[in-house]
Amino acid sequence: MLTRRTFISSGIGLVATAGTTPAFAGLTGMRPGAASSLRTVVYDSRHEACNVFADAMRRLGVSGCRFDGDVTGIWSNVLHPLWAGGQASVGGMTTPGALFCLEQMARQFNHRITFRLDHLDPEDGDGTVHHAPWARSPIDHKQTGLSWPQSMAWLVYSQASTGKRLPSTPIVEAPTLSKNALISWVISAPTRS
Amino acid sequence: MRVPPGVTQRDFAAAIKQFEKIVGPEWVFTSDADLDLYRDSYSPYLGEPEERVASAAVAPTETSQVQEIVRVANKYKIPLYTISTGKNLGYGGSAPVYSGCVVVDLKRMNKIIEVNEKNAYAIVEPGVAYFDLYKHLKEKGIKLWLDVPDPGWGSLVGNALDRGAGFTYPHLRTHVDAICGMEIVLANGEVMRTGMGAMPNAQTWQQNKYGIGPWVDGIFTQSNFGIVTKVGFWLAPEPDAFLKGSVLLSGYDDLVPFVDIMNYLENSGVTNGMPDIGSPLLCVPQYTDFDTVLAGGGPMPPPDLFALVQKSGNGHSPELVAYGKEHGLPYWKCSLAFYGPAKAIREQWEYAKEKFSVIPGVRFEDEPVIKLPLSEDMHDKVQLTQFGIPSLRMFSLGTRSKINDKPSHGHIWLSPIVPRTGEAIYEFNTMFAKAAAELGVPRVFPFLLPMCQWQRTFVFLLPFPITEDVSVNQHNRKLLLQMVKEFAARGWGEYRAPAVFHDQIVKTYSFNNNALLRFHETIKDAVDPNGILSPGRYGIWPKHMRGARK
Repeated sequence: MLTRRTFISSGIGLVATAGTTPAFAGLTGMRPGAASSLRTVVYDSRHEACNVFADAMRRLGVSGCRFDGDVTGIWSNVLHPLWAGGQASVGGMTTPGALFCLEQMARQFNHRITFRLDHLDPEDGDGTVHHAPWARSPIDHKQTGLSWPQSMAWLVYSQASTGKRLPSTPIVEAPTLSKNALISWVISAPTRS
Repeated sequence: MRVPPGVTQRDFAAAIKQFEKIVGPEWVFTSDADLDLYRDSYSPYLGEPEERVASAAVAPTETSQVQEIVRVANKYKIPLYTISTGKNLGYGGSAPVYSGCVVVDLKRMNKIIEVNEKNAYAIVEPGVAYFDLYKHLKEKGIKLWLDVPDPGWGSLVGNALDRGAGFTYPHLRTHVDAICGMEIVLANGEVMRTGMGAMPNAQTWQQNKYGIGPWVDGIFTQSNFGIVTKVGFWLAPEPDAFLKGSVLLSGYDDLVPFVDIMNYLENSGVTNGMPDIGSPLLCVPQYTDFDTVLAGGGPMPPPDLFALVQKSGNGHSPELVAYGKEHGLPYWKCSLAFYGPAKAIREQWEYAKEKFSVIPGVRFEDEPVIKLPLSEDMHDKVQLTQFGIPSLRMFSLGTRSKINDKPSHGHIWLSPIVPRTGEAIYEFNTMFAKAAAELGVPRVFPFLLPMCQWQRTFVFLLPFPITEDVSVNQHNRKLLLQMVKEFAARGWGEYRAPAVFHDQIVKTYSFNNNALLRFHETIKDAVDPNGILSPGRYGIWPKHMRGARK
């Protein structure tokens, strides 16, 4: 688990291309140099962690679309036209309410959440960030030297490129969300067997 | 593979194969992962065995495919359940009333068939969402407005057929009132058009609602008598301007004369927007401030005021009256909305003020006229639904905020219709305060005001949260049904119902031994003898399923 102190003091930014952090790439199962199928990421700019996430994504070559709580514009101007044009993987770091909205809208295009990791108490309490225990959290932050939002950027990026899919989140298994949860996620159209 | 009750595995497999031939295998869904998308995200039976689930889903793209699906369903006696875009959250979402149905998902039928600016109408398919039509109007530069619900993510057809409503003109605010002409696939696979649509070559299908003979459009709302595949909607020309004026009332009892005058003004056509009532003294926000407050924005009321409000019971006490006088806080703030030419709506507001001046101590708040179309920088300053602009901003309800640190997994709505009078508002609150105290009914605000003020109708909207705790959900379900009975005893019926409670709620409309329900069943037996269309929707069961439920 990262503490706020580690997060603030971490001055190591991500490099621009995947695979130049071999330890991270190895941890996520990414092939060095692998491109991500992520078309864009969506992030709530009211939250510092989301901004760091988006910046990390930008360095990985994935453009971000910011919103400030209300997903209406993101839906109308970005995601609806994107998904109306065909399948497209989208990642993000948002509040649970925003993700729920986008998840419902994505159903229209047979897209669903294929990756989700909850981050509990990211901005309050003693600064300790807990990642929802029921989901995989393969990143050893200390080893990579990255902050947790930066790590999440890599994780989300890798989920889209490795094609690894976690089972879609069944509603009844959603974790109890504490005071200030953020969620890292990928919405895509899984290949049907 | 899940199989509908009463259908053999072999028959179901054969039906699925035929569905696949009709729409293509990629548009027939039978896996658990795919069918998870058709669960009701706000189910009050979340995670319990009684949660309603589909056995499969099929997504056609045109009316002829719907006809073929219906014929296959008749052949193998497969129960179907039709959804438009499945966003009816709070009332059942995309899950069937009868578990095991095959969901007919009309999201791919998303054509905007026609928009006629001169005659102010549109014809759309069920898969057209409010966002889609709004975007179409903007992109084409068509100066028409639609009336949108809140949130605006759903289907025009789906919302209107469940009798949802919005926020602009009285004649369009209840969306079913805006319907002019429908196309329906009947249970026997035939296509029927209503109103002037029944006249070949008519060019008035979206102008005259009635045509000749019985006007049947209404029976396809909140029912299961056919699958609606096209609907004509009346829209409104974009008005020149918008004006909001507020009436500030200092007396607790002033709602009585206020509502009487408000009704007169609306019924006379002087006001033509949705009224919006709140209470600054009782800390009840107006609708236009609702989502901001629930999202945690806006100032919290002072603790001393909040304590007085909590103590007052039904919102009245000498201490509250004194507080209001001392701090200049009115008991009620009632905003009226006007659409039209700037000159005219200014005069209409002046006339309204004259009428309200009979109320002692009344004050008024004028706001500047807003010229239309709305500029982009104004979007953050107004309630978008009052301008026919769909939004997801309302989605703060139930989410985490500084006034709600235990967000729910959604909610279901209790939505009783009460008389459109001030007296009814007080009576409702007296009754609800008692219920809250005795039964532990959740209250969002200490005094309730009707959020839905439709033409000649008040509707209260009461959310019951869905939680992760099965025992809490069970308790809340019992509470909700008890409240339905309490309301019904006073003649306050629900205007719409969560799918899992259709049976119980429909039975409260019990005049003459449920004559209305029996009439619906008679129609059902005639038009859908195999009972394949959305069995159980609004309590209408096919004959072969009825006995077990009586």
